[in-house]
Amino acid sequence: MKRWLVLFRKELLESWRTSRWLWVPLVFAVLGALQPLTSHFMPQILEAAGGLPEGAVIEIPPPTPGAAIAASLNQIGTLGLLVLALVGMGAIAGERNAGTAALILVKPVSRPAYLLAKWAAYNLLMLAALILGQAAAWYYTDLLIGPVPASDLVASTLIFALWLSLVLTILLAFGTVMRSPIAVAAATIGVVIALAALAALPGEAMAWNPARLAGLAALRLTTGASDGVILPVITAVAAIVALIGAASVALRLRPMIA
Amino acid sequence: MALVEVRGLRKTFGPVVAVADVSFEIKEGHCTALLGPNGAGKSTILNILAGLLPATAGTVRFEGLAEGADHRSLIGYLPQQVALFGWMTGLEYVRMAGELTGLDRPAADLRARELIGLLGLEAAQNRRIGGYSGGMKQRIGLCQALVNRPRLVILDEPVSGLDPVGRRELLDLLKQLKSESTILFSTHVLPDAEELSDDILIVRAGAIVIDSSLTALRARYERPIVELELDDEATAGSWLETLASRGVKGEHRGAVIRWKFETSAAMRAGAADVYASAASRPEGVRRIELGQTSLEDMFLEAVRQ
Ligand SMILES: Nc1ncnc2c1ncn2[C@@H]1O[C@H](COP(=O)(O)OP(=O)(O)O)[C@@H](O)[C@H]1O
Ligand SMILES: [Mg+2]
Repeated sequence: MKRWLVLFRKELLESWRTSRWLWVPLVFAVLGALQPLTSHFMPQILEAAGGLPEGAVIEIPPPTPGAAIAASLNQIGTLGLLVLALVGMGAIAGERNAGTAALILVKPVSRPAYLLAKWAAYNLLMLAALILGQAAAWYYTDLLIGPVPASDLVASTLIFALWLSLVLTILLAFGTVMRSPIAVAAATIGVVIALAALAALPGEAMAWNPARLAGLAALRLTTGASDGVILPVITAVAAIVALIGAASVALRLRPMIA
Repeated sequence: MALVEVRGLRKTFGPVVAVADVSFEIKEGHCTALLGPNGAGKSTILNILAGLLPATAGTVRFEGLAEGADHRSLIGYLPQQVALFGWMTGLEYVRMAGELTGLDRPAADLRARELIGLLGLEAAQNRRIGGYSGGMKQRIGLCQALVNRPRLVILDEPVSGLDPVGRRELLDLLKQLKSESTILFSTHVLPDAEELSDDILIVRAGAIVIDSSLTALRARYERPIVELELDDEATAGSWLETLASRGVKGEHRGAVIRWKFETSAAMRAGAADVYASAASRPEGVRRIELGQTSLEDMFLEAVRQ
């Protein structure tokens, strides 16, 4: 536990010194704020673009407050997720290639401690960025469009955080078996796209699919309901635990020297 | 008993046999050199000892530990390519290494400062490692290896990547370190091994071909010699006859003639003859030297494929 904490502090210091703690939350905040801002100012934007002929009246129905935040979440789920993948792709593969991992693992620390320190640090960063992004979306939505129940905001954040956490776990797990950080990011995004595509299939067959969590978080914001959230939550948690276990084993089996 | 016992160690990478059935012991308090040309398998052996590579076969046993038990808290390891976190300061790195070996933060901080002082890095300790020179990184690497006062210090080619000045400084540091720890280090050049080690293991193509103390190697391979360098190579032939009557055969390479003796008494008598000839003969002589054959010939012989 104590050595885990030393590694966790190292991870936090690293992401601080390499400005990840600046850029990732900033990107999430911008993504969060952009959606309510653009939907509110869309008429003005169109007018400024001068594209409308004289007399034409276009009715753009203003989104509901919940839909505005849900749209922000959708942006975070694509661009934000991409940023997370790029930031975390070298977490293990990069350290292995550089040779820095060998110098850590030659100390009496366990493989799971090494892995979990990274897992916790990246999840903390993700959580902070997501909360900031949601707060930005909520602030501008509340200001320009209308109020959103706090309970929906919190619930959707938690559901979405679990999805992003699973993505980070997949990213770290690929890092233990692949040499190239780019390949790690590509493989992770490939899995995410595949899961999301399957999750979009209608019907009950995909009710367990953890990629459903993204849509369920948005649904909670637009309708206030969270039906069907239990099953994907269970699979997501189970997948996270299983992946951490498998990645620990992979770390032990695959030598960590460059 | 030995601090470490290695038995039947073998490591293959697919079809490549990097280490083939290697057995040796490391004696407590000794400095052991793992000497061999590039590709001989030195790093592979050291990485297995450090616990970074699983062996294909064979055992490593530390004194007082069960076979195969986790011995990482007993060792310090400096890899051939020292890779540190460039965004950390030297002090932060060594302190973290200390904490990872189980020291609490104040103790790790104290030990880190002590080592950094010992290796003369105080002035740079609060700067980022990313801006350090190769020699400075090597020293921080040494600090992190020593932070837990390891019973065995494993150093993979500690001086190979350094410039002559850095190399000299590190060799002197290691000489100091020798008096207080057991060291196993690898090198591909004989002089480093001769300068530092008590015991020498010569590795060739994954096998140990010589396992001996340096003293025994010297006794076995070193011979007294007399060397004579002439102005003119052409006269070497007649000089070679000088000691022929004593039954000592000389050899010449260019203008340098070398006579090899079995005992130093024989060498002294031979040298007197050479001096006497030099005084009476007309040819110009550049130098006359008494000495010992180096282990270089033995080393080259041992590692020749
Ligand atoms: N990871 C690896 N994969 C395949 N071959 C390797 C690997 N590591 C080392 N080798 C091979 O094993 C042999 C010994 O390498 P090494 O232990 O690095 O030698 P040295 O340190 O004495 O220069 C070499 O032939 C090298 O090519
Ligand atoms: Mg090597």
